[in-house]
Amino acid sequence: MGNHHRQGARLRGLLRGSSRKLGTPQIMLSAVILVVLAVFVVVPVIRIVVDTFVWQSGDVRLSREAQPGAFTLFHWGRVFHSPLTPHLLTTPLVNSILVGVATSALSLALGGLLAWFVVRTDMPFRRATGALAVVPYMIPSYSLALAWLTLFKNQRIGGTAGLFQYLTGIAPPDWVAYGFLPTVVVLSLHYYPFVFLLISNALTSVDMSLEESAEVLGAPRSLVLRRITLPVVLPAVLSGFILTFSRAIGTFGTPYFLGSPVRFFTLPTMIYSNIGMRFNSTANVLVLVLILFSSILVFVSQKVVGVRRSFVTISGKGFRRKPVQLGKWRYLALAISATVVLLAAVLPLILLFWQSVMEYAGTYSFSNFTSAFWLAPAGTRLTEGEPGLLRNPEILRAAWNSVRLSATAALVAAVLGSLIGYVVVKGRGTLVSKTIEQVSFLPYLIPSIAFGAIYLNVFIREWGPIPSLYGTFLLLVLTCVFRNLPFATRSGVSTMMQVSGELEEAAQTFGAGWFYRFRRVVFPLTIRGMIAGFSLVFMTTMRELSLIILLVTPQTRTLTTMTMRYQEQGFVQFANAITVILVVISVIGVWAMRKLGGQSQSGGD
Amino acid sequence: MGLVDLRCVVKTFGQVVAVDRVSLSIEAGEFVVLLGPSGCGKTTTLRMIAGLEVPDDGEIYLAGQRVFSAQERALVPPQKRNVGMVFQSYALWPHMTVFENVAFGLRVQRKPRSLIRSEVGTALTYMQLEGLERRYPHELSGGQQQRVALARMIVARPRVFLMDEPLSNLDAKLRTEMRAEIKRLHRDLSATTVYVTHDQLEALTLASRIVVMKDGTIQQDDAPATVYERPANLFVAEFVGSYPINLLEGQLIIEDGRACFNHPKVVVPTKVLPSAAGEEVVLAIRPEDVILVQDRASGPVLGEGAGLVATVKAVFPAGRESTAHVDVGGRTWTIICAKGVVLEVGDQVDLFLSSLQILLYRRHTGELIPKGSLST
Repeated sequence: MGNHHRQGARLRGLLRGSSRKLGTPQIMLSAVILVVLAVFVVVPVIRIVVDTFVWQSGDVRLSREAQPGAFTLFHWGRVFHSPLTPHLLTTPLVNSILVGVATSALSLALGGLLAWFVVRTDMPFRRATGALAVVPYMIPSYSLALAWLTLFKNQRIGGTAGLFQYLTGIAPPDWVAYGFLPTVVVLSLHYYPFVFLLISNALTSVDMSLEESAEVLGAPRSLVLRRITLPVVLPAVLSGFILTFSRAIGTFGTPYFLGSPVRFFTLPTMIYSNIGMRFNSTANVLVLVLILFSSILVFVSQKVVGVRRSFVTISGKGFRRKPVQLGKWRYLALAISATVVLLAAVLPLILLFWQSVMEYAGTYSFSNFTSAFWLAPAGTRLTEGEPGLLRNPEILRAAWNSVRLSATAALVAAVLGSLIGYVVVKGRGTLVSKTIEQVSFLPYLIPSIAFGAIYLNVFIREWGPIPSLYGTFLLLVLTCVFRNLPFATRSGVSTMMQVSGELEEAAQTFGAGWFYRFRRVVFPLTIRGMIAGFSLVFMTTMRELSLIILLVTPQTRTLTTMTMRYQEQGFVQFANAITVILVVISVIGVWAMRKLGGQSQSGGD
Repeated sequence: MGLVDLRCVVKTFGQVVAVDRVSLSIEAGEFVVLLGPSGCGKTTTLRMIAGLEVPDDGEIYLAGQRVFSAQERALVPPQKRNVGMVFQSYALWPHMTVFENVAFGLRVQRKPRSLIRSEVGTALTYMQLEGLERRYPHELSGGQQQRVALARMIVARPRVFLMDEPLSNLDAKLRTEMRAEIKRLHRDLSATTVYVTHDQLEALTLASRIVVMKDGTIQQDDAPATVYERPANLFVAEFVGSYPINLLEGQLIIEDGRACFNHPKVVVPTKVLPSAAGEEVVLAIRPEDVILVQDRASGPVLGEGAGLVATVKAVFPAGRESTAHVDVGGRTWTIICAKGVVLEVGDQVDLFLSSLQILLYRRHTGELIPKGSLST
């Protein structure tokens, strides 16, 4: 009887478990967050799946059988089993995979080599190299693509040839100027800092005593490297490879700039081109293919890396032992590192700026200098009537849009991420907490261009109480917020974990209600983490192109999309100048965040 | 009804029953220590009193007010219970100064500014923290942080003080000092205190009552002296005591009409009733109760008991007194030797077990067999 009663009570406890653990405001907060996540993450994904099975109003152009609103397998058939399949799916998919594999391999080689030089050898200027090595990641990847064009362009796409032809008189062949090779090189130069950070962290945090004890036991160097060091660094290598791969296959800007002149399509550029032609449903099927692909990758990486990581002991003490003596080779190492950093960060910027002060693109002489593209008043013949950038209200508006968008999205994402972190950490172990955490991770599986396509699809029309958001600034903000939610949430969860539960509980025992506690204890303690989340999202959004390219309208143009417009119209100087502005704003942004983060660090506690 | 009353309280985390039908009544002014190994449910019990964990079943009363009832679905949240708590980590707010930390509770209560200033001043003086008002927690030593946590608790005048392993983050010397401080606090304020620790010495020195817990259930609920001298079961016997209690397995037999502990090496007359004869038992005796017989001829009057010979396995000189490990029928026993006694490894020593000092436990249940004189 007593036992029976207890079981009943336990069942009741289980049913009410989540609600009882959290106080009322937490329940309300959880409920609000769940609704928000449902509306902006779950339902849009479901809707795009459903839409691919339904005739859309625009489909009348494609097929006479189209009955808008009725069920159909037409779109899937068109992509997977039709004369168009090679063009729509197979070729772009193969291209994406090839670009992904090659980019990952090259990034791994560059990043791994640099990491080893910096962490384990006696190469000169290791610290400076370490600091500069991550700079390329702060520069938008397509700015490298533009720089590549500046350098290697031939006359195929019209306009003047690039610097290479100007200097040597030889026209670079198409395979050097456009398509697969430059895409891979440019993406690798952009993504290698990722691998560099992962591997150098692994190399520094591996407990050296593991290696030393093997050496003490008389193991030769090669054996130690093969049996001890490599297995320990392997998780970082693997996750570096897979991360780079999944980003490379989802990126839009670089393959667009470098691939379209030779009709080299990857999945993202094919999606863009289909949406441009208003074949939205076809694009949506491709979006789902891309999502499926990147989900599998993330899943595999978590399986592989998760299992591997579990037996690796990383003490985090970071002992430095005697570095590997490179002898005279150390200067070669330095030369390699310097070349990579120069190619990836410095040279592109110089080239882009140089281009932007040329009267005639591609003529590298002093007499060709002009400040027209920066400063000319409207109506200047050279710029075909467009005023110089710094006098152009459209550019200023785009710059303002970029900053406004990044700041708003970052603020909303940081606050939302913190609130989610709070609810997740406080409710740890409950179903609600797990659901919220999982769902806010979902956008991570969706490549940027696919995410943009989904939002375009869902918010272009009126949806329940939500009016059509197409063309509004709000839509851009929402897109950037929810696409970046996984990062903001992760930052929020880890911050909330650090603010130990006891700090809030202590306030509770003193009679402080929820709002008082949040205002006086939780918020002040998490502000630093929020700044970190803010700057992460701000910087990402600032250089965002893939995500918003499908959603911007002339009123909501940002600097990144202006770059693209000018590039398409052949105003190379303008495109390059805008990229320079963008990089300058980014660098100032990073610097300001560091300053701000540092200040709250010194004054915070 | 006590000031704090737990009635058949149950708390589970997933499949694990952390607290299993615990009932406990604490009177005003008591200093109750919840003692047990990690995972025994002591901290969970404390947190349920504070309201930081919600039980699955049972009832909790604070000063006669029902703060939780599973049946009635009643729950008073922590902020309305008026309890004070010192956390293991101290939980000092790192972004507030010492003054702000201590003033927090009064500010929540919207006390006038001047009152806050004077109350906080008094508490800080009482905890010997004058002059540190503007410091931040990270600028204080561990002991000072602990004092701030105590000051913060007392200033809000809670109905009951709850302390969760408050000394576990301090080094040995500071721990002794703070133990004295907490004792002084309890004496001066005669505040009802519930104190959680896994340190049996802390429990013995601070408590007016010790509640020993294991696997979510109460093993013994008694005065410290009783817990030490007459542990209710083998778990408590082994858990309490600075030196491990000495154990020996044997049977109870009848000799000359009385129950005797029987082991091939020694037969000890006992005080338990003869009716318990035939039972498999474990003999337990505290190291300080084992008498080391120096001179067989002119030894002191030892009273009723039995002697045995043991071999010294290791000696640990420690200044005031030394301890030694000896082998008794395959079991390692600890004995205490007074200053001046010199033992060598391999020595044969004469030990004497007094009938009054030995404790007998049922081997299969681990329960204490009561002494016949007490139960008759």
